[in-house]
Amino acid sequence: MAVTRTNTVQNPGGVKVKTSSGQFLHFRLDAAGPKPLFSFESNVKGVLFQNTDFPNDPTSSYEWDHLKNPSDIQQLELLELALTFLTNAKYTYTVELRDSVGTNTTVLQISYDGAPTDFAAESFRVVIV
Amino acid sequence: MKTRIILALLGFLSLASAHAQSFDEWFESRIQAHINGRNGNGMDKQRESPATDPRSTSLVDQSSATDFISVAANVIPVTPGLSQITGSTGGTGSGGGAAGSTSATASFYALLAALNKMSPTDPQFYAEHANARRTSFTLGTVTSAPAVDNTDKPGTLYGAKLLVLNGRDIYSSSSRHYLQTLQPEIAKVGTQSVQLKDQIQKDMFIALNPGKTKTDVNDPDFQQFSLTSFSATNFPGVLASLPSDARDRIENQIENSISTFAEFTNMVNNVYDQISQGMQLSIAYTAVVRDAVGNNDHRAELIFDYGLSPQINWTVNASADYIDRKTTLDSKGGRIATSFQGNLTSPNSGWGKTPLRLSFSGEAKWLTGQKPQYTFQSQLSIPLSPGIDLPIVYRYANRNAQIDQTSSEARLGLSVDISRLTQALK
Repeated sequence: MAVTRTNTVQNPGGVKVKTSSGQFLHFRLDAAGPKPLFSFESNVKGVLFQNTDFPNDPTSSYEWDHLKNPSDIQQLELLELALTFLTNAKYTYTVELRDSVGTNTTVLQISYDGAPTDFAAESFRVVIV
Repeated sequence: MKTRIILALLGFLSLASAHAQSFDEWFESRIQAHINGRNGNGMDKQRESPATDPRSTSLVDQSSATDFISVAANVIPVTPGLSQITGSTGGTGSGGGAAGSTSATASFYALLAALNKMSPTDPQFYAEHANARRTSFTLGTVTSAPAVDNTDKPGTLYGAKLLVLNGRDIYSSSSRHYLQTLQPEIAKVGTQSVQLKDQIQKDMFIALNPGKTKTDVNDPDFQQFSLTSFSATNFPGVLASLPSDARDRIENQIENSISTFAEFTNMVNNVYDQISQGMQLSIAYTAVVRDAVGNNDHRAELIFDYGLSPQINWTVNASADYIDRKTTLDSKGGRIATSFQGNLTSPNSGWGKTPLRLSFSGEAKWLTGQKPQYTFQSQLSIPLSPGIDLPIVYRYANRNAQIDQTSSEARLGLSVDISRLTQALK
């Protein structure tokens, strides 16, 4: 069975980030439980981290930032969140564009509902401007 | 003419569905198509009343109850005694009486979650209270038949179950081992996926920009293409405008990378099978307590479950039974029962409908003061919606308890898994 996606904010496919003005991406993954299994990757750096890299894993909410650290910045990097549904049937993935003065814009918010043997991966490309 | 209209309609429908597809959804559908092309291509939680209830649609008890809370209503025999037996009191079937019976089962875990105002699937709470899922309690009412139970007033059903071996819990040591082996594979398939997507997007850019022979991250055209081409709104147009040779190259790229995805799919299926086929052993006690003159039924039971294959589960019960009669001699004895349950469909989602399930069961019961009773049952459990199942049962017994005649009947029930229903309605 294919994963069912419910878009609150559709994946734009590409996101402009003005890192020179302090903009960065904030990621949040909400998991209905009981045991989320996921991986976050870049086409440039490979696996950035997995659920097991979070000290409070398993939990109902995982949050992380990207592009805050200058060493993260890669032009046209493709970022992908890979989700498995074996032990967690529902996820909600939110990506916000944030800046140093506290402005938040949701660029992607999608809920996923899958069968135990399903797999889904959501990706978008970062365009540094 | 009719065929042409159907083909035109199908073409229109597939085009319409392509309009709603983002790049990621298209990519997943292509991966699945290639895997299917290559291959050609939990069961077993008791949500019904315990078998002690003579009106239950379950002849054999299973080792694990629901993780959370479930309710079972065993409505009425829809064919009251197919063999048309009539006892001295006029009761029919093993249960007699017109009223059905109902029971509710809750795990200790569900009670803890409710007391702590936590969602039962909260990841931390679920991980920290694995042992609480080993214990469950049942409370219900059971219909009584004067010929068998010495009263026509309903009895009260009490039950408790302790899961000694729990091989199907995701926090059992064996399940944790299987899930640990999966973790690096998720990273591997994710890396393959993001690199393949990167390559496909670059190839699409080159195919749609004939003057370009390679991509450059500093090329404003490629940056603009990356920003605008892969949303669900724009991607179908990009896909439609690709030349056929570019589409063929992309399909070849996917085919050349498919082994990683196919291996991952096989591994997830294997882990799912290993966990769902895990061994389970529980001990259970059930009692039906009736009024001052009615008989009380007690049963202490060992229940063993084992997955024979991903689709077939085998269950064995061995119990010591005791009927406490107020007006005549008590009966003591034992019972052995076994059941094979097969899933006819696959579960469509973790919290979705349960599979369509067919089971065959047999029970042999020996009690002092009674002739041996042998019962056979076939059952089809039909999922009506997530959390609601309709079990339809045909049961045949060589004799109906103390009535020395054969009995057969069809039964209808309703089982409601409240947590599953709640999750589906969220």
